[in-house]
Amino acid sequence: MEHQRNMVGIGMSQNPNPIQAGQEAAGMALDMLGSNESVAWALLFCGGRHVPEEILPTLQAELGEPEIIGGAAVGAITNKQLAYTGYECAVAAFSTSIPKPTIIVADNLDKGEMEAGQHLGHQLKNLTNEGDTVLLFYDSIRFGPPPELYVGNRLMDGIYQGLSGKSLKLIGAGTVGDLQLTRSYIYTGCQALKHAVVAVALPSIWQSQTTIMHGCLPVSSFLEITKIDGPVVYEFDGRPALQVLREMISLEQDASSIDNLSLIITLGEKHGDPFAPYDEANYVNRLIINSNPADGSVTLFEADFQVGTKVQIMSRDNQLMLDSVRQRTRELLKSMEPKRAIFALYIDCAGRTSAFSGAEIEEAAILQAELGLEIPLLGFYSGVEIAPLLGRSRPLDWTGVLTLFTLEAPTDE
Amino acid sequence: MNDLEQERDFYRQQCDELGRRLLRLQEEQTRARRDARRSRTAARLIRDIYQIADSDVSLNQNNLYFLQIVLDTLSADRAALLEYIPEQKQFIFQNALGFSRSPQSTFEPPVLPAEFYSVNSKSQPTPIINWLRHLADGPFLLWAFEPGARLAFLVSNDIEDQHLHRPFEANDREIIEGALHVLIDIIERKQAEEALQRSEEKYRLLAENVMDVIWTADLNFRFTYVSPSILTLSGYTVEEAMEQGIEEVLTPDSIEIATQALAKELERARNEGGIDQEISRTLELEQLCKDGSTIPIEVKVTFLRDVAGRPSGLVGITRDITERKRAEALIRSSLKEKEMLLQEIHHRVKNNLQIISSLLSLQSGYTEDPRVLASFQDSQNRIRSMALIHEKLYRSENLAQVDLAEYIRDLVASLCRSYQAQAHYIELDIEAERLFLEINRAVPSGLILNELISNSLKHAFPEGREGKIWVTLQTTNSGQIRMSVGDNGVGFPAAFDFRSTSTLGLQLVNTLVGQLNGLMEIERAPASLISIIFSVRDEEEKEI
Repeated sequence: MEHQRNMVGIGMSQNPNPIQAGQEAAGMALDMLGSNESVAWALLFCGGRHVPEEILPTLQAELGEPEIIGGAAVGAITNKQLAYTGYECAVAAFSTSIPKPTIIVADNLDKGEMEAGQHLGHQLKNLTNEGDTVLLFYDSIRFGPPPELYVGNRLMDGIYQGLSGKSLKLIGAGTVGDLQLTRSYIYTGCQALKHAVVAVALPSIWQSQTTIMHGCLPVSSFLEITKIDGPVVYEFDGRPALQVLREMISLEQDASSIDNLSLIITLGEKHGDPFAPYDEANYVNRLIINSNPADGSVTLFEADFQVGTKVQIMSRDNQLMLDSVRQRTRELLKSMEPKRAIFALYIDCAGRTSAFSGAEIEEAAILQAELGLEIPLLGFYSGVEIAPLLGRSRPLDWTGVLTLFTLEAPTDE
Repeated sequence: MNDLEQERDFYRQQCDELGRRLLRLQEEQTRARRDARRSRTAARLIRDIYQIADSDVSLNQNNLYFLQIVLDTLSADRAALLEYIPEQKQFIFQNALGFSRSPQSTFEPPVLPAEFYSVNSKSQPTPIINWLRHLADGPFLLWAFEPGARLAFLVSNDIEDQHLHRPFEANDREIIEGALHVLIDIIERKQAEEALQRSEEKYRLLAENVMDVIWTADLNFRFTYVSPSILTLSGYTVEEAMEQGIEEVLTPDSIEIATQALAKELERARNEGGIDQEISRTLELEQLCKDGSTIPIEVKVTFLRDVAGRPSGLVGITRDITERKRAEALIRSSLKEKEMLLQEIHHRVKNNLQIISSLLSLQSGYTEDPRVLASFQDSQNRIRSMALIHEKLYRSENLAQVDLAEYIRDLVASLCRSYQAQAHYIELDIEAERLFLEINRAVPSGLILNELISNSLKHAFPEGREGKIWVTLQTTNSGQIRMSVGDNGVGFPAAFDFRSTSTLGLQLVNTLVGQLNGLMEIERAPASLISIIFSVRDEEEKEI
């Protein structure tokens, strides 16, 4: 059987020197592509310890001045490498032999997520076909520390408003450069920007299939949010939110315990039948990123919950997380047969790293093992994952979103 | 509340309680895994640090490797090693990575820091914590300090859990202190190795630059080290010399000497239970050279010992003594030449004195006056006594000292011949201890003896009387020489005072005793006896 040539080249470096890191990553990607291929565009994700403006020109020069899309990441994953030291530089270089995507940028997130989303949605509506896949990366951090985050749900609402009913498959991430949420940026083609969101509208020939890895189990009865302001939850069932959570996790009242909240639990909203048997695919999880003992509130990564939303306290179950990765990757690969994916993109919540979750092994290592070396893999650790769930694309927490891309003509519907 | 609502609340409580237990179990499991992860990190860090112990780098480079390993393993922003100077109560940056400050920056703490600190966002801003944050150039840090080694180790981050994904905490002590103690072990080992290397280099440099050949060998004379100067000494290279057996190094006679010396020393070691480490044996041997010649060598050899003190080998220094031997021969030759010259001088002096004596004898033939004739005879005897000294000297072994006992016997015989008529009836008794005098004391002694014996021969036994003259020579208890001449003749005149005598002979005796710094004693009864007591050497010479 003739060996299929690569149309996507992957490279990754952990060199602290940004110039050398860029050269090493680009060199690996070009080697994988082969000498006859030119680079049309590239995805690039860099650890938070790198200065984005130093790496980007190197990558562009090495790869032949393509447009480079991506942003900050806590760490990166490829078929053979996996690290989150802050010095990762991971690139996927796409050959000019496959159709090039359309890049759309909104650099006004600071004017409002909804407004930026609408702007993107309008443009996407005009530039895409029904069912196209769009990669979406936005800067998660408005400012900080303490961090104030952009609300992914508002952005997504704005996009859907701009799309005016057009159905697109939106896959992406809210980027962060470190787990302390101090820095983030977006590569928008030829520059690194704050407060930006970039959409990569893939041509229709690009087909994708996505699976979402979960890892949380409900451990409480339903709690009704009775007071909330954006991402800040003040009360469950009329009681201070922080007190309810503390009682649940048996933490003492001292300040040192409070931060452990984010390491132990999330809040999950169950969609569909609330009394249906447990299915991880029915839950949208929200990370607790902060707590405020003064007013008894907790702050979530997203702001999509409302007064009256019923949530459950979710335990982050490491074994479930590992099993989920193994099972869902196998299912996805099986569903693809006999087609061969040209590229795999893994958007992985940074909280799922072994160092953060306490898991015995890296769940991304399971993915690497299941995927093998045939399909070029680029992954990165994110703050928010965006993937289709329960009828539309949503910002998710504590998930791993794996998408496999193939090249095929769209079927007529 | 109806039954159904009560039941619902019950199950809610049960559900929440089970959830709490599950969370607790999850948390305990997570904590255990984090602890295990920390231990793995510590183990990996220590393993990696130990690997640099075997690297052949300077201490400074060693420390930089250490810091790089720490940064890589802990994913920290900065790491530094600081030396504590107790006299100045300051810490000095020795090695640092990630810092922008210049090396050798000094910092004085408000109080002496403890051995460990973990500083995170919850740490109270005490003076020492503030000082540590200033020192670390960052708010979050780990600090380990080993006062005994005067070494401190610092790791800092700008963001609390950026890369470790958790804040620094007290449990990190095992990591940072473990790393520091491993480093101290490595530093001490490297310092010892460097000191040893310096010492070895110094001695090797010395061994390879001296003209003498320094070597070590086993007890079978197989070389284990030979310094490069062997090439100059014997013409053999070090490699060739190392392959040689003793039969290729020394002449057969020298092998005999060397093996006997070694056997004797080993025997002594067995009998006495040890060999004196301080004593080296010096042997003069003959070395075989590559060109077939032999050269004289001096070998100083000492035993090498094992841990139990038993001889395990030899260490030696071989010196080419060809030049020394040549110089010694030259000195011997020169000395012989001088001896011959001196002998010739004494011979000529003695001949000249004999010529004078003969001239006096000839001269005496022109007078018949008994008093003049007697004067001539006295003078001849005096000259002969001096000539006899020179004759004794040039016949002596060392040309410097005269055997006085032998001289006395020859002098007495000579005087008896001179005073043949008077001596005919006189018995001569010589009792002389064998003593040696140098010429400056032998001449006056000889003249004194000549005068005293002549005096007895001429005056003690008038008109053919029989009698006895005795001469004694002995060493006194104080180490002086007592030289006596006595007779049982007529005795000294009643008014005789040897200090104010008018006769030439006794005036001469007085003068000569003075030259010898000696004393003169006179006994009148039962026999006449004059004794001269003097030192073998002049007091002034002694002082010199």
